[in-house]
Amino acid sequence: MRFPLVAEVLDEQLVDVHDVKAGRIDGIVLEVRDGKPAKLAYVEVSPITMLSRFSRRFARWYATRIDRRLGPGRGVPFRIPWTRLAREGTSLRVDLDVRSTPIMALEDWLDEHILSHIPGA
Amino acid sequence: MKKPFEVALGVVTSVGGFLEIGSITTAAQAGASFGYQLIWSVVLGTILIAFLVEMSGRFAAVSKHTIPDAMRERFGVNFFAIVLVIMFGVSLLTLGAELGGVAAALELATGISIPIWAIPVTFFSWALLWKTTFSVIENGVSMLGLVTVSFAVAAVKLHPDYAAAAHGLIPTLPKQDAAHYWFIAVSVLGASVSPYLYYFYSSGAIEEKWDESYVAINRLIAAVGMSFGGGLSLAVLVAAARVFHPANIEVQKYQQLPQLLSTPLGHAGFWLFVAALGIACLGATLEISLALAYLVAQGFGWNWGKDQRPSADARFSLTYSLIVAVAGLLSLVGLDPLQLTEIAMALTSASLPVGVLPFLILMNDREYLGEHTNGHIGNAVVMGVSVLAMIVAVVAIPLEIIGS
Amino acid sequence: METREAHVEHLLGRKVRDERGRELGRIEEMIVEVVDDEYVVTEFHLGTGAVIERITGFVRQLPFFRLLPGAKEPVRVGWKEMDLSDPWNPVVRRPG
Repeated sequence: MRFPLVAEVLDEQLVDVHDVKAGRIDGIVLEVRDGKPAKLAYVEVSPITMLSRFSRRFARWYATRIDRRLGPGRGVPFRIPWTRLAREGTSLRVDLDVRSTPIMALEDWLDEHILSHIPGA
Repeated sequence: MKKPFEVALGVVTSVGGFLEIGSITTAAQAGASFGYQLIWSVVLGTILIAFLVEMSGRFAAVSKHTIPDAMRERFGVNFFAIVLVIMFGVSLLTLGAELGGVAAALELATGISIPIWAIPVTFFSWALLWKTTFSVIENGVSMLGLVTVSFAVAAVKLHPDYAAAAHGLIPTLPKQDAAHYWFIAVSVLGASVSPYLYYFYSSGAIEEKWDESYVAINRLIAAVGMSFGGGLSLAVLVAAARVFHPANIEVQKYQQLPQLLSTPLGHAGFWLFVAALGIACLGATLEISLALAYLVAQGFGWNWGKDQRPSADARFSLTYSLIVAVAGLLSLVGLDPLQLTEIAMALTSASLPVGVLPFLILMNDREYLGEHTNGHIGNAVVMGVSVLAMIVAVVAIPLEIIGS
Repeated sequence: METREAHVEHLLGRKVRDERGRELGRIEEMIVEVVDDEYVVTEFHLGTGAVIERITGFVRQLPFFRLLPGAKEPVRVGWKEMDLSDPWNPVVRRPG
C-alpha cells in the first residue's frame, strides 16, 4: 500500500465511531529517526495547528490566550495516534467518540455559555 | 416515483429563488438606461449560472462532497483561507443588501424608514433559520417567491417591441456612456452568478442525500429552473425599458422600482412589487446566511446541517447567527440598499474567478468525479466568461466611480 | 537511537537544498508505505512551489491549457537522501 500524505491525509475530514464529524486533520506528526525512514506518529486536530500554518506566532498567542480557556485538554494541539485511524473512502475514521475528546470543547463551551440562554435551541 | 416531484420542486425553488434585489436592481437599471441593448448580459449571466449550478449539483451527487469540503481537501488550508475571506466579504455585502431589500419593501408598504426595520427584519430572518428546517426554508419561501412571476405579466402588458428586444440578444457597443454601460453589464453578471448560489446548491444536494442517479435530474433542474428565472430577470429589464427608458429616467432610488409593476398593473401592481421584493430578498437572506455558514463549517470540518436542532451544532448555528447580525448592521447604520447592491454586484463580478476557477479545477478532477468530469464546452464557457467579467469589471468600476 | 518530530504541514512548501547549498525545489508531497508493520515516509516529491504549482498543475489537465510551458515532473527524493535533522531546513545528501 502506497499513498500520498498531503493529497490524501492532510486537511481530510475526520469522522468518529458514531459518524459524527470530528474536525479536519490540521497536521501530521512524523517521528524522525536516524537510519530509518520517518514514521507516521500522530495526526493533530486543532485550530492551533491550523493557525500555525499561517503564523506560528499567532498560533502560540491563540493557544495560550484563547484555546486554553475552552476546557480541559485544550491549549495544546490534540493528537490522535496514527494507529487509531482508518481510511474509509473519502474520509478518515477514528476509533474514538469525539465527545470524549477535547475536540468538542468549543462546541460544548458555546452550548453552555450561549445556546442554553437562547430559547428554542 | 419520487423523482418527478423532486424535479418539479427543484424547478420551482430555482424560479422562486432567482430574483432578489441584485437581479431586480441591475435589470431595472439596464432597461432604464439602455433600453433593450443589454438583454444579452442577462442571457449570458443566466447561461453561466445554469452551467455552474449544474456542475455544483453533479459534483455533490457524484463525489459526495460539497464544494468547500473539496476545496480545503484538494487545495489545503492556506489557499482555502484566501477563497474564504474574499467570498465571505463580498457575500456579506450582498447579504446586507438583501436584508436592506426586505426593509425597503416594508418601508414602501408602511412609510416607516429602513433603519427602524433593520432590527426586526434581522431578528425575523434569524428566527426563521433557528426554528425551521432546510426544507421549509427552501420550499416555503421559494413557493411564495413565485409572486415574482408578476414581472412577466407586467412586461407582456407593457407591449414591448419584441423585434427590438430580440436585437438586444446580440452584444452591441453603446453609443454613449460606455463606462456606465459596461458597469451595468458586469453588475448584471455579478447578480446572476453570485458564488454563494452554487456553493449553497452543493450543500443542499448533500443534505438531500443525492447520488449518481440524480445527475440527469440535476441537469434538468438547472437548465429549466435557471431559464425560467432568467426569463423573470429579462421581464424586469423589459418592463424598465418600457417604463423608464422612453422618458430618459435612470433608476437611482429604490422608491422608483414599484413603477415597474404599478404602471401596467395599477394599484395592485404596487402591492405585488412590495410582496415580490420582500419575499425574494428574504429568501436570498436565508440562503446567503446558510451558504456562508456552510462555507465556514465545512472548511473547518464541523458538524453541519440545517435539519438538526441548533444545539446539535452550536458552532454552525452561532456562525449563521453572527453573519445575519453583522449584515443587519449595514441597514441599521442607514446604508442605502440600492447603493449597497450596486457595490456588492460589481465586486462579485470582479472577484468571480476566485470562486469559479478553483471550482472548475475540481470539476475536472477524476478522483472526485470519475467519468462525470466536465466537457470542453462547459469548461470553456465558464472560464471564458468569468475571466472576461473580471477584466471588464476591473476597468469599468473605477471609471464608474470617477464618472459619478 | 535519537528521535525527533517533524510536522508534515510545515514541511510542505519548505525549500530543500543539497549539500552544496543549491536549491532543489520545495516539498510538495510525501509518499507513505507500510514497512515492517509501520507506516513510513519513503519518498519526497519536490517541485517549484507548493500551492500555485498544485493549482496550475491541475489547470494543465484541461485540454486547451496543455500549451502552457513549465509542467515539470517532480523531483523524487528517497528517504535515505533526505536529512530532516533540522526540519525547517531539509537537506538532500546524495552518496558519492
